[in-house]
Parts: sequence; structure tokens; C-alpha cells
Amino acid sequence: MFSKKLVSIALVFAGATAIAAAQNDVVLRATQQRFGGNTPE
Amino acid sequence: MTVVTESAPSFTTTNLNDSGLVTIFSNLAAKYPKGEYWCCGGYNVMGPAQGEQWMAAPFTPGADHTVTRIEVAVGYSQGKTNGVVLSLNRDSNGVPGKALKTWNASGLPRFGACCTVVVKSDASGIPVSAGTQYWVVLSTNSHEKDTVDGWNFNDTNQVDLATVATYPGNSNQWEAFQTSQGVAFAVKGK
Repeated sequence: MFSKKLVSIALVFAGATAIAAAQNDVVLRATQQRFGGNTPE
Repeated sequence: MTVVTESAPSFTTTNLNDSGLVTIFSNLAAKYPKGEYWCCGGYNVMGPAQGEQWMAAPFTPGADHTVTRIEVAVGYSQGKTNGVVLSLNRDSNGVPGKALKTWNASGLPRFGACCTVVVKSDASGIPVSAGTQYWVVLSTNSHEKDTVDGWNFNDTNQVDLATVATYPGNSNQWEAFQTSQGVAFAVKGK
């Protein structure tokens, strides 16, 4: 289930990177970033 | 949280003159110049001041080749230095091992645009063997301590899981894992 994945995601808006709240899970594998939109949670 | 918005960047494409090269591996959507990779999502590649994270992706040549060119979909997000270190590495027990060749790339396209790729070449070439796994690695150097780049997701396979590796991970070493979102790159040569 997606909500079980822990993915810390940085949102990028025109060069300003904002760290979004991570999802809940056990293991942080690697952080991702997305441009111009919110991230699924 | 303060959010600064800006209109979406326009498409930029790369006209790559790679005629005559053999594609050893590619997950770039070459037939779709407006969608060679997913513009707007990727794994972070960051220097230590941002919480160090290097990323790598494997490929296995189907025949013996000599790598002369690597293309990577990577964009710059923030930090004093716009750059990334690209390398072709041997495999070491399922994670990246010794680098066979290392390049410094600068002036990356802004993350969030498509479809420029970062290209590095080696005229003499790096021999690779059929059936042996190698890794393309994106990392940072001492000038890129606060750099944040994004290695774009590929958009050619939304069915099979892809392998990627991250460093330093949770145990200060390379860790490979499976993901539904592999990263976009191509390896070419002769």
C-alpha cells in the first residue's frame, strides 16, 4: 500500500526546494523530488 | 512553508548526433522527443550539506562493447554549484564498485524541464563485457557540497520494477533496492 512507503520528497518550485512531509514507513530508501506539483501521500 | 510558483518551463530538446553508435543500454524514450523521460520527478542527488545522497542504476550489456558515450537525464535544482559527477562503475556484489571512468558535468538543465540530457563521452572508450553488470553513478564532489540535483525517472517502463542504488543509505554504504520508478539514462558505444 502506497501509504506504507516512506519517501521523503522535496518539492521544487522554480528553484526553491521545500521539503515535504514524509510518508510513514520503516525504511527510508532515497529521497525524491518533484517539480510543480504536490506529491501523493 | 513558502511556495514560489512560476510558469512551467518550455520544452527543450537535445539534438544528439550519435549516429553510428551502438545503443548498449537505454531507457530513454527516444521516439518521443517531448517525453524522453519524466520531466518532473526524480531521485535527489545531493552533496553532504543537503544530506548526502548519491544514486546509481545498473545495466548489463548483451554483448561485448566499448562505451564511448553516456547520456543521463539529470537536472539542477539548487545550491551554489550547478554540477554533478557522472561515473561508469564496475559492480561489486550487487552495488557500485570501482569507477572505470569519471566525468564532471556542469551547467545542467533546470530540473523540471524536458528533454535535455547530460552527455559525457570518452573517445578511447571503456570496454564492457556481455552479461556483466555495470553501474552508472551520479554523485557530488567537493565543490557541490550544497548542490541538489534530480535524476529524472524514466517513462519507458511502468510495469516492471527497476533496480537503483543509493549511498550512503542507512549503513554508510551503497544499498541497492527495487523501485517502480527507475532513472533515465543511456549507454552507447561501439
